[in-house]
Amino acid sequence: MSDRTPTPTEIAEAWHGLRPAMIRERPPELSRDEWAYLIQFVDTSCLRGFIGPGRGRERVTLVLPGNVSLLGPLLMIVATLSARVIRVKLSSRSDDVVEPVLAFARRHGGPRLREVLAGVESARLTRDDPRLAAWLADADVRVAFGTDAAMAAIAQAPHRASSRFLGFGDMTSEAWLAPDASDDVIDTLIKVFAIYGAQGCTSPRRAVVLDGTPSDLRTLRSRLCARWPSVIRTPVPMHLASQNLLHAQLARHAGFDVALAPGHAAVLAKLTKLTPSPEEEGTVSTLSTLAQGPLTMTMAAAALDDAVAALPPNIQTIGLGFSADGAARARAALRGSPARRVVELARMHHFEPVWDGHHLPAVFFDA
Amino acid sequence: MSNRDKLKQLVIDVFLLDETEFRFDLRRTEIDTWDSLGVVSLAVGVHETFGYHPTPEEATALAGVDDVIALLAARGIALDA
Amino acid sequence: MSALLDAPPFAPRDDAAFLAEANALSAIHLAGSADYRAIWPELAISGARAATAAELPWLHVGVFKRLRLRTEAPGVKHQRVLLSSATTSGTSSQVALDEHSGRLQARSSQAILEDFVGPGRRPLIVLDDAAALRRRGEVSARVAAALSLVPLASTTTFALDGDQAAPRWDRIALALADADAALVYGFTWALWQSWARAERPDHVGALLRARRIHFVHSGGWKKLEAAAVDRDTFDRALLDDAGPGSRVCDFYGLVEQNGVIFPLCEHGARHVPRWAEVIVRDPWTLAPLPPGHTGLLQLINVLAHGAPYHSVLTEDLGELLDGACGCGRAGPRFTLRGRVPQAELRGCAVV
Repeated sequence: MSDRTPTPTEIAEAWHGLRPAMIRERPPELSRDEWAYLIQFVDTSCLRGFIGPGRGRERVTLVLPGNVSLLGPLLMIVATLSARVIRVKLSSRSDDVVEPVLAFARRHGGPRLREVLAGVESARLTRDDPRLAAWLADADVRVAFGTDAAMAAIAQAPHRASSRFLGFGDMTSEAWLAPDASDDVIDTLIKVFAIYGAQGCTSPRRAVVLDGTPSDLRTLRSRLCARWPSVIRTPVPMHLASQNLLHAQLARHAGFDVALAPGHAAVLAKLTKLTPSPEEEGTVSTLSTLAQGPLTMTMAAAALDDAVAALPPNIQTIGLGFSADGAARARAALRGSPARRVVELARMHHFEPVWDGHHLPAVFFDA
Repeated sequence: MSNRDKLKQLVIDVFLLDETEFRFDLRRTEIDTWDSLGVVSLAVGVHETFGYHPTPEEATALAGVDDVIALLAARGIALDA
Repeated sequence: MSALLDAPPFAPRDDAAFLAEANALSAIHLAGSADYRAIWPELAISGARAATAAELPWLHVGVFKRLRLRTEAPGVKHQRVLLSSATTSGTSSQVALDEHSGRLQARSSQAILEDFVGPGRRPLIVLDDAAALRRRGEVSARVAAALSLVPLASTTTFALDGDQAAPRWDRIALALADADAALVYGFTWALWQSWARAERPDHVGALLRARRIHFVHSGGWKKLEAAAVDRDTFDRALLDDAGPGSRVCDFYGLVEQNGVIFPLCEHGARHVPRWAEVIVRDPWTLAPLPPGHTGLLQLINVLAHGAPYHSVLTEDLGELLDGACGCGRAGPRFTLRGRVPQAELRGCAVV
């Protein structure tokens, strides 16, 4: 379309220009919530935050796991702002949301966006495919999702000395609420949880009622159950309804007091205490991998200091559902904690330029 | 096409309604597709059609077609224009 | 022993007796299994006294993939562990077998099978490797299904060696030599690949065409569907080279319901023996569904003492059928509607 390479801002504008088409048609592979988020994300005002001051790093390789969340397409879009050559390794064995987004953008995007996307190559590869090794070897930026072991293997694969590595490992997140949380906060928790259940690194796998009593916790669970059907109006797919019945039984077996949200939409597993005393050793404070279901939320009441002390080492995001004063107090207590992000509850899944402790513009651009 | 007809068409397109289902007094609670995607699509559609881009807060606060009319009117966009 | 087993499987039912036995069995498991008590804490306090079969406690079938459950009770002597065949998740179900239940389960499966293939012993040819029998401490679903036919067998011949697809026709010819009828059992796919599609020596074909053969198979149709083989094609391919009166019998069963099998009758229904019950449930409410509505199958029997697998909520879909069956068997009946469709929830690094 032009002789010169478009600037990052022009590329952001090209993505922005996709929005009118996006409101008219949605690829069936993406949920309505996911598509809504993507429409907001490609707004120039949002994408501008991901643009660094220097030259873009030219070759980016993304290694995505099976069933990756919206983070896959979001990172691909961010990569297009800086890179000319983008390779996306998709899982060889499951559904994916990157290719539907790419196909949509190629079909509906303007000439500039199509030109940018001509530099994007995606393929379903196994980890040991020689093409992946070649993509990793010549990349300026390597981005990988996966278990800690899988990421270490990808980081160590042969690569250029100047190449940067961005790894998104097995992280967990929590929602912290006040005992007298408003209906809006309850509704927000339901919405944020229902998007990816406990599967996303930014999903609130555990809800903690700060300074709450066991009775507050019971009340919270009752309110979640009561409000769930009006907030999430689509029934969960049948297999998830069935899996939730299984995980409710496994959580009970693990010592949790369990309720199912109406329509078996989620497993709400209540703990008596977040941090068991030494003599209660063996009491579970988190569900084991065995019992953790894809839509299982554990719940506990705890004092602020105990909640901070009980944070797992792989804590990513804390979503706060408080009044301004309560949020300030929680933020102060979390300073110096392992939590990578502390945000309002509604923003738990928001993908931002500083993500998981990495400043993305500094990764994708050379200052 | 008048602004009134443009708004009607926008609401029909964005919320996937049959023409017969449309009313100017339709409320958000009556439309299943007025969910997260509906909110965003309506905001983008209003921008595309009327040139005003509602803020996320404004878009979220819209509770019915009459609120859209009021929002447009507050920006000097009259429905009978 | 269950008194319900004293009558033929599809004789008129005694629902009150069934419920009493099922309640007693739940109480045995609550008393003898801490795992079961943990899963049903409310019953551990109040006791198990369901007023209807639909109120009986159940375990989700997936529990058996994650926990090795055992019930300790007087008279229960545990034996081997029954393992399901590999699933897409790669995890097998584990069911603790015991001597007492084993006797009941053998009586059950013999009675049900006799109702379909007729009484009398005849050579049993199993399309499997005898080595599968010799694993210590555990027994596979395939072998368990084959062993359920042993009470009907005069001799038992394992016809495969190792992972060879071609059967040992010499052994089969020997087994058929002095008989006028035979039972041939295999997993559905094995029966297709190693029997229906296999080339066999002429003399074996001649032996088969002169005998009444009951082909009995179980296991999923997934591989056959992928190969575009429907039930008619499958049955025809087997019966083409079999004598007059030969039949194909497809049965449905779960390792978590060992001993209770549901052969397909000639009118396309699966009948529930009087010592078992089937409930079809709405996946989103668990409400029992009436005939004509598809839902999750819950299978209940009164035979399982060694572990609480007497009442299992499956991930199989089914539908109860209304009215009387043309085959004349009494009691409830159902039809399978496949499995709950699977799809993963999206996530980040943990998947």
